[in-house]
Amino acid sequence: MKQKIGVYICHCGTNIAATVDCNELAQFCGTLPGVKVARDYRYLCSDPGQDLIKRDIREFSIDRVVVAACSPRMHEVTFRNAISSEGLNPYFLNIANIREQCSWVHKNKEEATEKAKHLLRAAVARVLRQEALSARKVEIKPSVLVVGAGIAGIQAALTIANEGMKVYLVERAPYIGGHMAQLDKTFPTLDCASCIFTPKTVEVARNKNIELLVCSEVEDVKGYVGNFTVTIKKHPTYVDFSRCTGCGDCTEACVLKKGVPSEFEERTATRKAVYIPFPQAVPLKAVVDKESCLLLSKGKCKKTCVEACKAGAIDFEQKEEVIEREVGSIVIATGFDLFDPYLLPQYGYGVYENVITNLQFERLASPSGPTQGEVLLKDGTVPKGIAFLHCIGSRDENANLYCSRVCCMASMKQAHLAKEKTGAEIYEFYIDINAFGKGYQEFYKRVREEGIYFIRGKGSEIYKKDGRLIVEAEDTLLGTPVEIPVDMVVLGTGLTARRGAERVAQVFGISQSADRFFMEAHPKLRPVATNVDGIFLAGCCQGPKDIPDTVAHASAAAAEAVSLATKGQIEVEPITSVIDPELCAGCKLCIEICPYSAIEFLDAKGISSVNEALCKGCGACTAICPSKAARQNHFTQDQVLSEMEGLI
Amino acid sequence: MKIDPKTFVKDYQLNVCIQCGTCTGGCPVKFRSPLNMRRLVRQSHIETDPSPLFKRPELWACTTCSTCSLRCPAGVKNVEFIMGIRNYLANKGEVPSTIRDALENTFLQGNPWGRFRDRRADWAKDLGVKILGEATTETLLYVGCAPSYDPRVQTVSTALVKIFQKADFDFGILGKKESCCGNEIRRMGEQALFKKLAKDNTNLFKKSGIKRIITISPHCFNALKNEYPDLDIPVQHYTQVIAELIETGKLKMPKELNIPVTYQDPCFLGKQNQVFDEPRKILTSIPGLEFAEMERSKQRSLCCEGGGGRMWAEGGTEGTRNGEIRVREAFALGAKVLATSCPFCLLTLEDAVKIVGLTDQIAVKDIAELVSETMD
Amino acid sequence: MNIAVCVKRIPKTAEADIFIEKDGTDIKKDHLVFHLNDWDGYAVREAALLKEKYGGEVTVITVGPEESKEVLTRCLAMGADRALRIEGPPTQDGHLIAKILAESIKNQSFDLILTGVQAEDDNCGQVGVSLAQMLGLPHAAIVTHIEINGDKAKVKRELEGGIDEVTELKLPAVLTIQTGINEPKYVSLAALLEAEDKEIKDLGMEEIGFTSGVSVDTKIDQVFFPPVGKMAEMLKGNPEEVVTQLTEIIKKKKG
Repeated sequence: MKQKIGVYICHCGTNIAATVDCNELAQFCGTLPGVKVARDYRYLCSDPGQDLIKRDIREFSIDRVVVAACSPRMHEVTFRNAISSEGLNPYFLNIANIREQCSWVHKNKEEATEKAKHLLRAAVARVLRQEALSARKVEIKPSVLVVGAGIAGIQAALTIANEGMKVYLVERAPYIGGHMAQLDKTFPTLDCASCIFTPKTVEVARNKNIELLVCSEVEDVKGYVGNFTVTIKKHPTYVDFSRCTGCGDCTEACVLKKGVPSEFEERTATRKAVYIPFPQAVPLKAVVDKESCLLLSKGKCKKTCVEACKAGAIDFEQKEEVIEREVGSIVIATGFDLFDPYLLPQYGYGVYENVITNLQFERLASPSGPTQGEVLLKDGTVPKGIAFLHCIGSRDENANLYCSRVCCMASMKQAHLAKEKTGAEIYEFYIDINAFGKGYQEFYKRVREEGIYFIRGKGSEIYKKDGRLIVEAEDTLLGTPVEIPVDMVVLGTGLTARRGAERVAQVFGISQSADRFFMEAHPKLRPVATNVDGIFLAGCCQGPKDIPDTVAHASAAAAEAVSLATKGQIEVEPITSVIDPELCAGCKLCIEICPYSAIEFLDAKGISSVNEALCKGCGACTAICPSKAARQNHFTQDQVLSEMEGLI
Repeated sequence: MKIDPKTFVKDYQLNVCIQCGTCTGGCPVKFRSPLNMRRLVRQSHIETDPSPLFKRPELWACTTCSTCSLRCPAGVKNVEFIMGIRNYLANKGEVPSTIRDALENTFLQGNPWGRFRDRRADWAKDLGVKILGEATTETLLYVGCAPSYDPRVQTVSTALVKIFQKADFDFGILGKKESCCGNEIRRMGEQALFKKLAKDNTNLFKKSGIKRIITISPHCFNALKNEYPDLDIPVQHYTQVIAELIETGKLKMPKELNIPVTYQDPCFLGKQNQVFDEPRKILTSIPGLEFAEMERSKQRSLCCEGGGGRMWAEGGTEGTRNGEIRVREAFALGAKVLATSCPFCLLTLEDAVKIVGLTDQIAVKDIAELVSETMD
Repeated sequence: MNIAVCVKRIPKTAEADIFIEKDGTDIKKDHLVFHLNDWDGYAVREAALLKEKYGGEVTVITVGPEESKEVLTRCLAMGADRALRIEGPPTQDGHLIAKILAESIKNQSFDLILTGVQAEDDNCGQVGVSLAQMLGLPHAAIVTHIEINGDKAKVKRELEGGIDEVTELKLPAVLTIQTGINEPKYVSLAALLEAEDKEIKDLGMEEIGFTSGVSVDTKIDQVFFPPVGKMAEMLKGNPEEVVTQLTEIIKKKKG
């Protein structure tokens, strides 16, 4: 039976119509083989627009539909639903993108219309060869993996756990809390960071639905939405957590006198090889760092720690453990790293000991920090002048182009704390003040009222003269260059994606944006979803955020995960690959090339077979198969070739 | 060829400037002249016809150290803008008189000091140096104008020849066929003359069949390596070559020099071309030499004010020269020698030593001179 | 006002290696760099400035070989409107040069004729004044300032001892221009390249009016280096060595 194709051309207001002559296009389509009806309409995605299509299906027995409009990413689902409501298989729809790929990128109407004709001829040729397919339904397991236990991961984990769902919370460090645990007071309310989030961390430890795995990393992820199998590696801590009481005797006894730079203290202090991260750490357990531990790295040590431990918790025989968990969705909350100030040598970081980063200042200001909350220079004296430099590594062609969002507020908060603690002359060298949130502008005013000097000019260079650090800049509002002598310089180092972000992206199959942060599915409308169904983003791993936004973002990710689990099952596109057992020669090229390890070799039959559940429909096997045995649904050789012929 | 200042906004990206002041803040002459890069960019951007702004004498105070362009977070082409303005002025003949003379001299005699062309290689006549055209070699030592004509800098050239000869390093010079590299010419605004010099020099290099070029001055190094459009022969600064010779054991330095030494990173070698390690490698390899870093070193090195045509500019700046500050810094560090690897740094810093009255207490020497002293 | 400027292309000899030709009548010039005579440059600039102030045209004239065109191009780039090259006999005879120039100028109506005080190579200073005499025009030599008032020119002349003489002349007149009368403007390579497209008129001796040739009345007999005098002792060596020798001599001759 001959197919009856209905072609519908959308004006999309003036988006398409201004550059493509839709009327002419419709007339042209009417002349193509197999086309029974060709119409143009102002807004096809609207109800009356869809009705137009539905009516034609009913009245003219249209059984193939081509919609020439915006990108299929926008409305492919809309039109599939429209035609399936009239009983037509949704995969008999083909979208020709004459907006993003035509009217939006060209200026000349005649040429654009010609191009649109080619696009439509291709689309019509293809739709003739499309086949009926039915979507698969997959079950959603109700458990969730949360990767990273900073405030974002904690928020997501608690939200999900309190819904009654099981959460596996994996954290790389020996403690939870991430960067927030390092902060002293938070802006704009000057709440003590530890005070506000310790209740959350304690809850995480106590919640029966959360399995907390510290010192652990996700090694591998297999599966698909609703059915992920994750392989988690638990690194050995050489301490038996079930015995350790967190008393700290082992740390006292550790022979490593000089210690190594402490990661938690941002290298402003040292720690021993066996250490408790900080006094309020959750879990409050000691861990052994195998790189600095003399016994583990060099094989020689008196093992005074073992002696000192009354609970007998230290176990140098501990091995790494690899475990598997099955989850329905994943929330990635791996956080951020600080911009490396060594990359901008003009600031003398690493040359002058009193040039520090904002996180290092945070540790100095913290009561649990190396100076017990006093803001002191390296030699122990109180600084008489402190300069805070904004935009170090951000908004910079020579570093990162984006604004790190939180450092203006962090800098002003730190300036306030510094003023309070030292009474010194405080200078803020800024370009713009980003005080965008609730209470932020008011805080900015408060800080100005406290007598902190704001100089509108980016710090250009730091050098030392007569024992003081000199900040070279220009007061751009006065138009005069300045050299301000201070004792301490705090660099407003920006936020960057984690150094291992590429590997994380690879493991989970998600994408990164140009700035290396993980990419959300849509910048405005889908901020927590990724391009992989079932994997969500929470917090700064998606982009710089302050704490309120992080918590909101994490809650949103949790909500999506919960919603998925509540639905119980979802439909997955049947655009997967199938290998014809008659044609397959068993060469295994497809297995080699499959990025999702979705093809297995059936030894008994000597042929390869696609696991539909894992297949993501990328088409690599179809392209590489020398016998044309591998065939991708909805992207068959026939369909693709006919589309190309139509184009040329 | 008329230059239209109205194209400057686009040519130099003046419209992306966010007026942060990093340029002015890092400018080495910010306290010595009214030159304010940030303000210049803004004013030039908003005026429909910015040409009256270009008549300001302080535009000639810029040393083209390029700190402004290197640090600009927005991507404004600051120093290129200054050079573009000077090009516009030079085309109309509106340059200060001493700059005029330097440019005319270069056109006539191939060097900005107007010294006789044929005398360019006189400094080398008794040194047994190969002259390309009379002898063959694959390596060209491109001497440069100051090292050829200035008696103080000729000592550096002689020292380098001695080093290369003692290390059995084969090289040749162009002799009196050598002409100015054009680096400072371009920075004084004579873009057309620079293009001509680049073209003629490139042809000369290619015709002589050389495979490698070494320069004495970082200014020549910069021009040949980065700004000559058709030169694909590799270019090195001599410190890179000497460091290599030391590393491979081909250069022996038998005599000890027991002196405390510090080093001035020249702008055109250091911050513009990232050559920081090789000079330091040489200095720390000299037996007996105690090396100490000055406060502002490497990327933060303080410009000596010799570049950007300042060797031929008169006035336009006031107050203590940067050279004086540098010499005092070196002296305070306890150094007996302030070493450098650029003829302009050498001349300006040596002048400064005399001005601050430290003539017997600290000497300014080129790295080549120090190495040569170890080979006596 | 219509101004004529007579210019000369001469070699730069300062610092250069000078060699005498085999026949002894001239120095070797092949290896020397040539340029516009310094004094003439000031004259051309002055003409350009007068043109800016009073309008009119500037014509530059030179007597010389094909190579002289390069200085005419430079003058055109400096603001001259027309350029004329006369192919004269190779000579240093200032009187003859003046004769040739007078012949080509006398039928054109110039309000003012400028030359440089002298040429850098022979330093004779004859052409300008001779030209005035041959044209029967008033003249002032070594002029450092010019003011035009209608058909009169008031000029300052540089005398010895820092004295200036102020002279008023009726135009047309011939003035020989001293260096420093104005601030020379830089002539960019771009301007030179543009000026190369402008026309330069070439004229032979016959076209000027010397149908039967010209007689060279002054010939250079010999050019030689001055002999090294007995009273001059040349000290050789580097600065340290020279100073040592010098102090010895002074000590010997007792200060």
